[in-house]
Amino acid sequence: MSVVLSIAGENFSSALMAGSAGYPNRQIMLDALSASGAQIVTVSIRRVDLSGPRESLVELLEGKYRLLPNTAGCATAREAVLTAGLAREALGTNWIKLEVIGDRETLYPDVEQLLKAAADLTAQGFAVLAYCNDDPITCEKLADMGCAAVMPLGAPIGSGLGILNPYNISTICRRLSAPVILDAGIGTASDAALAMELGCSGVLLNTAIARADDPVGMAGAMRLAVEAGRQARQAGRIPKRHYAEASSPELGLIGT
Amino acid sequence: MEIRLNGTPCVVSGASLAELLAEHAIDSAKPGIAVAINETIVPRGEWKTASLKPGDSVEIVKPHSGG
Repeated sequence: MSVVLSIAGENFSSALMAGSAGYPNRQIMLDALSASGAQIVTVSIRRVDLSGPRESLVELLEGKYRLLPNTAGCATAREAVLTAGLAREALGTNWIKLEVIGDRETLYPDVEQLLKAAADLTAQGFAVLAYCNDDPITCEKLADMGCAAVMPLGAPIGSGLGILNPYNISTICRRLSAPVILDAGIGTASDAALAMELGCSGVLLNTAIARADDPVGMAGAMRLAVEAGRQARQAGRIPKRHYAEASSPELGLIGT
Repeated sequence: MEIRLNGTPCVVSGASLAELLAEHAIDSAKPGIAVAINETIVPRGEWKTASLKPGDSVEIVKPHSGG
């Protein structure tokens, strides 16, 4: 297995991480996750429906995927820390995707509460993968306090707008030694490839696959895009120029 | 006695968490479930011994789909 991503001491042969939400049905979710090649799959923590049927997402996914619980829906550090603790109890993992949301329209993080929660959880020994905005200062703070990964958004969750500020993502990747995972806003394969070309260690996406016309097809495309982007990055692209530079030689032209 | 269970008021006959879980067919041997009483997590090992007081707020949670 060739290792392309390392987080909290665990090695992975895929740099693509996928979410489990929003698929047309469970079977398509399973088929899409398989087609994506993802090894890490996110889940949320929610109340058991005590009156309803007890189907288990964990039973469907455990063993095949490394589950990464999130604190989606939490608006304060206190809620996020409690949810992380419940996730650890339920799944037996100290990995947590930390989301502390400041506003329901943009789903941008409340940075103050996010930093507070991250400090608390890293001190408690959690491997914190922190969803954050694309601000290099915030990302550096999260990395400095020992987050296992820093996960800046490309655009608002589910928006499909792609990477709105590639310059910030590039800066973040350049400055941090912690893994940088582009998380949120991916719309199609070229967005995922761009994330890797900018220097991200990985990409986390959900809606772009789950709500595509053909989720399984899109999952396969994302798999290829992440591999292509990573390979392009490693191959070292040509610089961008404002002027032309002919590729054919200037010597030996007929008529000179 | 009255408690809140997953956000809903609920009357329970006994005062033990174990009874409450049994009433709702929560199997402590099966992984994938976590419990908190008054926003304090009750580790699985303490499910058998934890007790409930009137007005307690109990949350029983599990992993669900999410991004």
